[in-house]
Amino acid sequence: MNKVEVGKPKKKVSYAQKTLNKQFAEDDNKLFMDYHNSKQYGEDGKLIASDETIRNKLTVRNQKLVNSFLGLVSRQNKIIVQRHQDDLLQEGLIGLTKAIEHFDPTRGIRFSTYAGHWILQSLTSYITKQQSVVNVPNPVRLAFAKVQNYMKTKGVDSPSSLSPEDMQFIKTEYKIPDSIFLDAIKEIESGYNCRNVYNMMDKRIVYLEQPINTMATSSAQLDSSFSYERFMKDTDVNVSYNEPIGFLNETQSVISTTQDVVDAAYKSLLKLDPVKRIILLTRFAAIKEIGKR
Amino acid sequence: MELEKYDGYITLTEGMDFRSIAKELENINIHYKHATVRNITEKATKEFLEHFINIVGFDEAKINREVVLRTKSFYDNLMEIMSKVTQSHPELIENTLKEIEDQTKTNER
Repeated sequence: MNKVEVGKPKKKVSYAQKTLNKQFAEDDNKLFMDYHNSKQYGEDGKLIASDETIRNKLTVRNQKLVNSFLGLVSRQNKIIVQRHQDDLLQEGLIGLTKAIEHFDPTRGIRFSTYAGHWILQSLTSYITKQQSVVNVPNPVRLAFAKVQNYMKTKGVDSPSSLSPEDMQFIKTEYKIPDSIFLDAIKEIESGYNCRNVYNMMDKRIVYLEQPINTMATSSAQLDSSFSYERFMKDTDVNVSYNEPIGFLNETQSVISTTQDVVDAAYKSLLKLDPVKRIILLTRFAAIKEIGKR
Repeated sequence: MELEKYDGYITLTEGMDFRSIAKELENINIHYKHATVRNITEKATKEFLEHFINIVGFDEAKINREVVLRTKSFYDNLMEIMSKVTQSHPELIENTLKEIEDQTKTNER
């Protein structure tokens, strides 16, 4: 019997396109082999020298990979990608150059599969850095996650209740140096949750009166009565934002009531040119239909 | 009132627009572009602030006018105060319109 395949029809690729793709892949392979042969390693196994011209050629040829992975990342983090698009492209290119340096063409793996991991890693690490105002170095963040996971499996709430044997186990298991491990534990004790508040601010200019509602991304953050003023106070200026004459309150002895302020404003308006006066009134008091009066 | 702040400039997103103010002024035979209206408002707010400071009797050295003109609370309060002025002195607008008419007549002569 004849078998019938059911599913999506395959994309039609023209013969010319196929030949071009083949040619491109062959040229790429040649360049990668040349680059692989030009590498020189030291006694430690670290790369000492390589042909930079070939590497630059390869980065230019495979530049489109970064764009495609950026599109993949942008589905989850739309706001950050829109704001930091140029920086993210740069980060992706750095990841691509690292991938080219480490790629081994003799193993018979496609370059795009290998480079994808490097590019995605560099993009996601940059995004996680941007998400918080407080800058936490990457190794500390990774150690933090590992310690927290271990605490979950043990059913422990705080790191102080971990035994010294457990601590030693985490250090040896995940290969964490002592200084970074101490920093990670400090991070957990100081309360990582309070940083989520800063995450919402997202490094933008924010007013204290502004409700968090306006920049909420999930339904959990939607609370219009909850403003930044509640948990952050501007200590440099003694101004209460709720009062209508807030900017004058530094010298309370001079002005105390709103009526005094209104009278002073009226007098200062009379001193202005009439055209300027009417423009100010239309601008700020929103008077309409002047000619019909 | 909502504000957008970028690189030290402040723009009002609500309130009367400069173009709509220019349209309103055409009813009194004053023909300005929106850009000139903007320039006049900037100058007028500065003058208003200076008069206000003198009348109230603040220490002039203490007040940094450039900072005040860029703060949000200043414009927020200005809108409230202006609306209260028009409520308490309803004759103010008609008097200013008369003054403008007199000015134009003297200029024509």
